[in-house]
Order: sequence, then structure tokens, then C-alpha cells
Amino acid sequence: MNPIPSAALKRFFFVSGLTALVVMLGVATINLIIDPFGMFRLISYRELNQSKPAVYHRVRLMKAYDVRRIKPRVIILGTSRTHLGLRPSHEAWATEPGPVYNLAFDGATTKEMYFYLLHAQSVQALKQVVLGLDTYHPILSLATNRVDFNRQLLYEPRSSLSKITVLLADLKLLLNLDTLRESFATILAQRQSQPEWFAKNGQRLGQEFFRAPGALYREKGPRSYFDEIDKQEVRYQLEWRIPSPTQASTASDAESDRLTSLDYIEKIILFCRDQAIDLRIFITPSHAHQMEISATTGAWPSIENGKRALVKLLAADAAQHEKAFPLWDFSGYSLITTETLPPRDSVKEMSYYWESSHFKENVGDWVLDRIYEIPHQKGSIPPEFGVRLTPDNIEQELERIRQDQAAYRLTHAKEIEDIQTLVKDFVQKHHITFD
Amino acid sequence: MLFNSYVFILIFLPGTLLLYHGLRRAGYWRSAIMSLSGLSLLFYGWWSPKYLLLLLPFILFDFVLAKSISKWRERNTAYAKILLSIGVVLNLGALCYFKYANFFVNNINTLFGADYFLAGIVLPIGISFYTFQKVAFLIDVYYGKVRTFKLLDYALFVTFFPQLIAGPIVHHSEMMPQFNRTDPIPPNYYPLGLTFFSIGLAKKVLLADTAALYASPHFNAVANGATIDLITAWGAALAYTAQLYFDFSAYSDMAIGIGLLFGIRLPINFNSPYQAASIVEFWNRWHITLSRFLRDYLYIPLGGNRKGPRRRYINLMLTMVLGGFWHGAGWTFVIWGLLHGFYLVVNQGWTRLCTLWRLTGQNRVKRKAYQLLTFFAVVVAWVFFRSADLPTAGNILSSMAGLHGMNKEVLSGEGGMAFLVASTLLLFSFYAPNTQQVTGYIGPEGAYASTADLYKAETVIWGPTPRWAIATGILFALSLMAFSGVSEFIYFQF
Repeated sequence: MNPIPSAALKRFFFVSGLTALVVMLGVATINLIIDPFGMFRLISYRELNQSKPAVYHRVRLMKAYDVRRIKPRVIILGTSRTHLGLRPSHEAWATEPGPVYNLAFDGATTKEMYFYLLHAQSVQALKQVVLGLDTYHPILSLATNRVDFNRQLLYEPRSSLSKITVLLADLKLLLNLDTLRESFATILAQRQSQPEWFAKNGQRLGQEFFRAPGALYREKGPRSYFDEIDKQEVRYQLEWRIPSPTQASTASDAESDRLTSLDYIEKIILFCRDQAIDLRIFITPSHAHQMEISATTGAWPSIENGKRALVKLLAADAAQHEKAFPLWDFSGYSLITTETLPPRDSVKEMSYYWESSHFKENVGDWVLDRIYEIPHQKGSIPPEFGVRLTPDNIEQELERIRQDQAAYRLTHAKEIEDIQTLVKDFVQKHHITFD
Repeated sequence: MLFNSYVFILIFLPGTLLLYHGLRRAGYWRSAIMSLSGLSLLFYGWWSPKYLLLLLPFILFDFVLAKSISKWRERNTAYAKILLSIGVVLNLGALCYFKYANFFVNNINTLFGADYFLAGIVLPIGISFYTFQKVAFLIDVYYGKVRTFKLLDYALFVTFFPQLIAGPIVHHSEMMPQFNRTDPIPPNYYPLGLTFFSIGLAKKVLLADTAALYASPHFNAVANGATIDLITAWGAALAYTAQLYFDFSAYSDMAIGIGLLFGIRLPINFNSPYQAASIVEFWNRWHITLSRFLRDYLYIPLGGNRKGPRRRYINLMLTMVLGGFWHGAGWTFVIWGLLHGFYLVVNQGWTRLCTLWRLTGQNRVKRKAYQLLTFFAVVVAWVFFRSADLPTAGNILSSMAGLHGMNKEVLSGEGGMAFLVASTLLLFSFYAPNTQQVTGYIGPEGAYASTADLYKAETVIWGPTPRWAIATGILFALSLMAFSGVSEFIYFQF
């Protein structure tokens, strides 16, 4: 190697540094303009970036940014059931001057809900929170999160460090080849753009999502799709029992701390109390088939204990305050949750459900009517749909559900048999033992 | 911390460079060396500070032992030999305990139906690399090849962060003299270092990590009980072959690049190994610093080729099996080593036969055929190297042999992409010049086992020109933006 003059050396570093900077700025600019994940939404052109298919599987990311932009005063937390079923435009918030935002997302865990609550409160002081829990949330298993949960995207109250980490997370997303790839994919996707699945207020629009061309619901028909989801639910409820090494998990336990799923519900309650936020909790109204699958897979005691634990948590909180946070249970056997399935050869849609897990918006409206105690105008809600659980009535309600369950089993023997077969087949196929 | 991490590139490396060169510029050369040692320990302790609890006392222990050996070797050889034995046994003993204890316990459990359990053994990162360096040093002190040495130089020789985790395995004779140099660092080192580092970084995050996408899922699926067809199996094996080369040689390139930024030349570790036309040549081109260590500190002390062909073959097998086991505590690595030992024996035997039959003439076609055969043998062995266990390796090799059928449809999807990606990368490794050929870099001057004669000077096209500055800048920027992906979550019900 021949020695090189220092001027040439300086030029080398200057040119390489400048080149790197230009390349990175170029990528960041493209990503900022196209904005495939809906982070900043600075520009929106129909031919360029209006439709953003990349957000469909990155809902947590998109919603972290939605909250920063929309600055909601009321948020709805929950899983995909709440994500689909509860509309922020409901009459309950007709007089609410601030934005209402559906911050629920697919497969949400209580840990994730807690950190999104902190995030929303850091952006704008919240007035109300509606928390939709599924029956598997109030349990003593260690809290987990899904693969796409990223705490770096979320602000935390009174934390300067979180401001820095969020800024760095913004930069990491903009200066990113993955985002660039999605930017190009977004531009190409405009040609075949489909109706948006997501409303601007965060709700997943069931009528667009399920009825979209190519969607399984539309292709298979509502009844076949319902059966398919029953099958998937069996897998979902049992796969953690599959002996390793074939243990598969849809829930990624990328991070796990010492806190349980129930602990995070308690943290949500304490945080709302501390920040003077009006919290209303409800247990989602999935179809009776979901309850039957839980019962067949042995989860029934855990469901009852979860409800007891929730009541206990809220009673402990209420003992120290004037007004209790309410807990509404919609998971019992009601006219809604026991809706008759369409015949196997029909293409008829159900009135209340997309499938056994996800209820439709009309059911969500009734849920909100109940928990906001709004007089119902379009005909009465079945009286057994939604019961406020308290320490005084919890055992009585659990017993009532058991009786309704027994009655349902008598009148739906064939469906129960089908569910039992699904569970039995899965257990045998994967050599699952219940010990 | 990893080289391909923001904290390393944006904070640790610039900070360390500033401190080191600031001290040197001010004339505090020894302080500069001390700062480099200290920051190397920080780099190492970043993973887990408890790793330092093993590294630090062992450095002091080995240094004191080396001093004693040096003192006694002329006065009382037997005593010096005992000290050397203690050093070798303790260093290798620590390596065995941390790396292999669980392996042995598990095998004893399997053999005797026992239920022994060793809890809490965490493998300290890089232990395999620095143990070899320390053992080689003790041996050379015993043989009088090193006479004067200082604690600071020794500590930096063991801990120098660019090579601490993944090699190259450096030799004291090529490193310690460089730490004592007080003359100005040649200015060429800096742009060359940046270019080397950027090429290495790009090889890792743009090429190796892409290849991994087409290898890992299939190896993992088979480990979990799946069966794959002929096309998928070959796609996965070739993708892994590309991944491993671009990954490992990338780390070496990055290490050399970082070394140059500190004015220190590290040895070359890879020299286009897939261009080798025999297994002997492959091992002269793949992980060169490991090969030279195994040759000089294992194969030759075992007798090498001095005790007749039969003993030579035994020595070769033994060296390669132990070399395989060094890579990981598992039977897959033992079989991998065994296979390479077998290949080497066949290679040596064939060479002898060719000499006997006077078939030594070379031509292009013959070399290509040999190259292809060597490559095929290496790919087969890599299947063992990558597989989680022997049944997985057996399953994949059966698929590669066509025993699990062939599904042409995979070619139009993921399988086709795997072939496209793997063959593009492998063609690159077959025909493109490597980083040192492009840049003209040779290892440490006058060092042990210099690699200066491994390539021809005419391929050198690098210079500190604006064109190379632009290329370096582009590679660096693209690599930096490929560190992290944006995770997706596809909900099971949708």
C-alpha cells in the first residue's frame, strides 16, 4: 500500500459520509411520503399511498401512531372482538367533545393493553376507558406479548426516557429497508386497492373485512367459516398443551416478566384510579360455541375463577373509593350468544356473529348501551344479556350460567357432540395429556 | 455487543476510536493500549458482566503462569513443563466445563439411564476462541518463542474486541509487537478499515441474513418432525452453505476493518473457500486461523505426517474430530469433523495415488470437476453442522438423496426463491474476488503464517478514491438500515 496524502483521506471520509447520509435521507423521505404503516399520514394520494395494506398485519404499530396523531380522550381497549364490535361513533359518546378511539387489536394481552393505556394517557389525559376482556385474560399465567408488540413505540407518563426511545423508534422505522420494501409494495398495491378494513377511529370494519373479495368468510360462506373458526379455536385453546418439541405457539412470549395476566388488569385498574379515568370493564359476548369449547378443553373452572378474581379486584378498589368501576359480563348464555347457526348448505349470514369469536357491531352497540346504561330505542335488549357482576351476585350468576349451559347442551346435542369430536381428535393427534 | 448493532456502530466504536487516537496523539501510547483493553472488557461484559468473572482472573493467572514458565524453562525444564501442563489443563478444563459439561452429562444419562443434572452453566461467549490463543501463548513461552512480554500487551492480545467473539484466532507473535508501535499509523489504514468494515457489514446483514431466511425455517421444521422434498432440501442446504460463508467471513472482514481503524492488522481468515479444488485446499482457505492453530498445536505435536501414512491419517482424523467438537458440544459437530477428517484422508490418499500413477497434470476442466466435487462434499458436511441433531441431519440428507420425493411445485414459490438467492450468492463466492483480493490487504507484516502469497496482486482494484468512498457509503448506509425488521403479527383467526 502506498501512503496517501491527508487531503485524499479527508475527502474519502467526507464523500463516504455524505453518500451514506444522502442514501439514508433518501430512504427516510420515501418512507415518510409513502408512509406504508400509517405513522404520520402527511400526504395521502389515491394513486400513491392512500390504501396501506402493510398496516393490516401491523395493527399495534399503526395504533401507537394513531394515538399520537388523534389524541383521544376516550379509548376502547380489548382484543379483536372489541376491535371489530365496538364503534367509537356510538351514542354513548355523542356528547363527548374529544376524540373517541378504538385502541383494541388482535390477540391483545393485558400487558399490551396496560402499556397502550399508558401511551394514550401520556399523549392526552384520558376521560374514559372501556376495557373489553376475554375469558382467558383474568388468569394467573405469566403475562406475555405478541411478536409485533414494541414498547419502544409507546410513551410512558412522566418519562423523559420514553420520549427518547420513541424518537429513536421513529427513526428506526423511517431508516429501514423493510419499511422501504413496504413503501414500494404500497405504491404497487394502489392499482388493486380494496375498501379499507380500518375506520379512522381505530375500529376494524367487519363488513369490509369479512366481505372483501377473496376473504375466507366470503369464499367459504358464513356457516363453513363458523365451523372453521371452531376448529381453530380448539387449536388455540389446546396448542400450549402439545408436548415439546412440536410445541407451536401463536402467542409469542418474546418478553415475559414476573407479573401475571391478572396482575396487569390490576395495574390498569390502579392506573385509571390514580389518573381519575372513568373505567368500565366488560367480558365479551362470544358465541356459546366458544364457551362450550372452553368447557370441553377443561378451561371452565379457570373461567369462573377469573370472574371471581375480577370481582374481588374491583371490590378491593371500590372499598377505598366512592364510586366502583363496573364489571359487566356478557359471556353468559343469552338470546344473543346462543344465536342459531345457519344450516350447513346455506349462505345465510348470522344476525349477531361473524363466527363464534367475533360479534357484530349491533351486538357491540347493545354492549355499550348496557355499560353506559343508555335506554334502548330499537327494541329491548334481552334482559339476560349483560349482567353487572358484584361480590353479592357473583356466585349466583355463575350458577345461573351453569344452569343455562346445561339447558343449552340439551337443546344443541349435535353441536356439542361436534365440538367434543373436534377436541378429541386434536388431543389424540397431538398426544395431549391432561394432568 | 454485536458489530451489527446500533449501540456498537453509533456509540461504542466512535467513542473507543476517539479515546484511543486522542491518547495516542497526545503521546500516551501505553494509556491508549490500556484504554483499548478496558473498553474491550466493556465490550465483552456488555452481554453479561459475569462473563468477566471468568475472563479477568484467568488472564492474570495465565500471565503469572507464563512469567513463571519463562523464568523456569532454562533453569528447570521439568518444573516448567509441570507449570505448562497445569496451564493447558486448567484452560482446556475451563473450556470443557463451560462448553461440554452438559453434553457429557446428557450422554451419560442416555447411556446409563441416569438422571444427573447440571444447573446454571452458561457458556461464556468467545471462550473457544480466547482459550486457544492463551494455550498457544503458554506453549510458545515454554518453547522459548516468547521471551519478554508485559501484562498490558498480554491482556489486549487476549481481549482485543474486534476478534474476541468470533475470531480470527490471533497469534501472539503477530499481535503483541503491534501494540508496542509508537510510529504514526499509516493513513491508508483508515479508509481501508472503513471499506473492510462496510463490506463485512453488508455481507452479514444484506447477504447472510437473507440467505438465512431460506435455510433456517426448513432446518427448524425438520427438527420439529416435518419431512421436506428433494428440491426444498437442496434449496435449504445451499442457502445455508451461502449463509455460513457470508456470515462468518463477514465477521472476519469486520474484525479486520475495525482492527485497521486502530492501526492494528489482523490476519486474514477466509480466502474464497468455495473456490477450493480439494478439501486440503478448502482448509487452507476456510477459517485459516483455526486451521493453522490445529495444524501447529495439535496435528504436528501428534506426529503430523512424520510417522508414516497410517499414523498421518489417524492424526488427521483426530485433529478434525477435535476441531469439529471445538465448534460445538454436540454429536452433529463430531460427525462434521469426522466427515472432514475422512475427506482429508481420501484427499491425501488420492494425491498419493495420482503421484504413483503419474496423474498429477492439471487443466481447467479437471480443476472445475475437483472444485465441484469438493463443494458437494462440503455442502453435505454442512448439513450436519447446521442440524439440531443427528436424526434431523439424516432426514435432510435423505431428502437431498430424493428418498422423500420431489415436489416440482415448490420451484414456483419459496423453493424457487431459495435456489435463486443461494445460487446468486454462491456464484458470487465462486467467481467474485474476495475482500482482500479487491483491496490488496495482507495480514500482519512478517507475521506467523502470513497469507501474503494466497492471491495475486492484479485483482487489487481498491484505492482511497471518491468512487470507493461512494461505494463504501452506500454499503454502510444500506446495512445500517437493514439491522431490524418490522415485525408482523398474523392473527390465527384471520
